[in-house]
Amino acid sequence: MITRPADTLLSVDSLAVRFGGNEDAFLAVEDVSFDLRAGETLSLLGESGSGKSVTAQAIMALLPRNAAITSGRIVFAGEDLVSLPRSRTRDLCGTRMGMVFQDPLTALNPVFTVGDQIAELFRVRQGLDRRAAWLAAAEVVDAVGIPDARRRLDAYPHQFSGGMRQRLVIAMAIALKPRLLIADEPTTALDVTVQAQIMELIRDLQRETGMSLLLITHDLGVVADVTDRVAVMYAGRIVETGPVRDVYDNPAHPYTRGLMSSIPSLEESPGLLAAIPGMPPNPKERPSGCPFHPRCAFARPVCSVERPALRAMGDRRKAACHFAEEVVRLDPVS
Amino acid sequence: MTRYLGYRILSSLVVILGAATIIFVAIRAVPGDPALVVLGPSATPEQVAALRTEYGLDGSLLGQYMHFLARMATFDFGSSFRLGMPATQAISQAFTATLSLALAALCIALMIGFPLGILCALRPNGWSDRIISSLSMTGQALPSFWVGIMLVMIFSRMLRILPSGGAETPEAILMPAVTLALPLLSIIVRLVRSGLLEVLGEGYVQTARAKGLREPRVVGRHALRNMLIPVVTVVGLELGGLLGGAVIVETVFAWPGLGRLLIDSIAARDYSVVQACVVVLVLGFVSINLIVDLLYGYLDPRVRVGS
Ligand SMILES: Nc1ncnc2c1ncn2[C@@H]1O[C@H](COP(=O)(O)OP(=O)(O)OP(=O)(O)O)[C@@H](O)[C@H]1O
Ligand SMILES: [Mg+2]
Repeated sequence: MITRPADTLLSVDSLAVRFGGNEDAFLAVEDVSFDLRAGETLSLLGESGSGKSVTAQAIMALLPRNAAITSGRIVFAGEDLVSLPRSRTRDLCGTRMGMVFQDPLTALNPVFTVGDQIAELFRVRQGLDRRAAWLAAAEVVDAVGIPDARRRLDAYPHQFSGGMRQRLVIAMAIALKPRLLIADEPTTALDVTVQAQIMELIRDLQRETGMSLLLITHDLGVVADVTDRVAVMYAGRIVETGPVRDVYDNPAHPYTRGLMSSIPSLEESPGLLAAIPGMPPNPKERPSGCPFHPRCAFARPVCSVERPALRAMGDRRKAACHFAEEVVRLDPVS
Repeated sequence: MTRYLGYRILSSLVVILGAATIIFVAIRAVPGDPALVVLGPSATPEQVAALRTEYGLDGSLLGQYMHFLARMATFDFGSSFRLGMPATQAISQAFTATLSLALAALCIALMIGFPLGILCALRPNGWSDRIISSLSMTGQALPSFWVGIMLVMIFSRMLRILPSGGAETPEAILMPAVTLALPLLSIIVRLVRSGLLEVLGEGYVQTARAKGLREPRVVGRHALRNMLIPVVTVVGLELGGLLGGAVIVETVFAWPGLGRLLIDSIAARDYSVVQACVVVLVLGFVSINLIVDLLYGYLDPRVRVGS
């Protein structure tokens, strides 16, 4: 048994999520494990379809009807959410864990005023009366940096810009002071200029409240600034995890290395993205051995036969590559 | 908003005027002189001419038309040749009967259709969904007159618990209302089902769940309210069909409504009543559309004009 630091808030252990029925079933997430300590930020990185959102949905009990957790544990504040009935996990949503979604344009209900939607949290979850809930809503809307909060509560979502709407979504997620915030690509759908402001806001809120942050993102630039540790996902599994600086400077997995070199740096002409060749595998027909081997520049015969385990590299890092020790010693990518 | 409303009312008036003109021409294009129909084949030419003068049928067609329009503006349609009373008086009772039939059918369709549609959407492709969905397909395909006759056979002939027609007892409305409701009910079931399924996949439903709201509140408040927008639109359009369906159902069940009055009056070439019936039906139709449009703006803040 692995011993965990006493302040571990969330601990995901060998999680597997299956989609679909008998014939067309596939595992969207497989053998995913990570820990998140109180106040810590962990970033989940990976290409589209690698299972980041599904992992978040599993934690929040938001998996769609055709998905199920087939094995593993999700221990949150000492309780295994997988074994809890869904309604109990639902109780933790909002109060103990909050979630920010990718697309603020669809995350708010178009037919209710924003005040209504935020005050609903205080009314339903905390039993405040209409007036007190409205005041509390004004307070959080103010806290996420929306000017003239009081008056804006009466407006409908379509009357706000994308960045403002994402602030409102964040306001809802943090309104009841959860200990864990899951942000699933919170800036992807926004203008570049607004992205930085939203990340800034999330960081400030985290600093004030001491909540933990599970940040899901494509944007490696964002990760470097805000995160403590990263976990890189590929084809439903974690292929590398470690402190952000170590992983950035010396990736131990060829896939991570590929991701790093795809960050457009300011000196290079834009558009010159050294993306990883090929496409992520179809989850229904993943390659044998290491799922990354068909796209890997370092692949050797053993890679197509034997799947590398996620093994420790020193005391804080892990990587799932047969040749991780060699990869980590390669020259830095940039 | 006021401008929009003004525009809608104006265009409704144009529709009513158009319908009134068409029925004015159409009923006169049907062969058969109303005076002859009333007096019978043995009438003398003097009697016929006198009656034609009495009912204002002796002037030019254009003159009659102008006269008709001028009186219609004050909701006066002249008097009935057949019933010997003002047409408005003749249709007012029939109008009440049709209105109560249509409202009863609407209530049945909504009160049964919504819960069944929601039930289907909560467990798509479950056994209850399959049964209800296929029943609703059937319900929409069955012709009203056949359903009506079947109901009469079962409840009036075999079980003898409901009257086969007329409107003498309060429970007499049950069978015609159910018959009239059936197609609309089937449409509502399928609209609610597909609308709710679509809405349940939306981001704001996930947000509501992430707020820790219980499923009944997520569905009943956040999803349902959005699902109402497309449903109200289609139901509004179908209400027009309900008025049309009432004509058939009233004939089957001898329900003393506008539909039956219309058919009897056409047979008797009772121009004034035919014109009054059609104008009232069209008026009902455009009012429903106007109400639906306003409701739509109320339900969806994004289309609210002037906000
Ligand atoms: N509702 C669903 N039904 C079927 N398959 C799904 C569903 N949601 C996700 N999947 C599948 O699960 C896998 C993981 O998807 P997931 O959404 O977690 O990817 P992601 O890493 O979040 O990607 P992105 O960066 O595009 O958001 C994908 O193969 C996807 O096709
Ligand atoms: Mg995602």
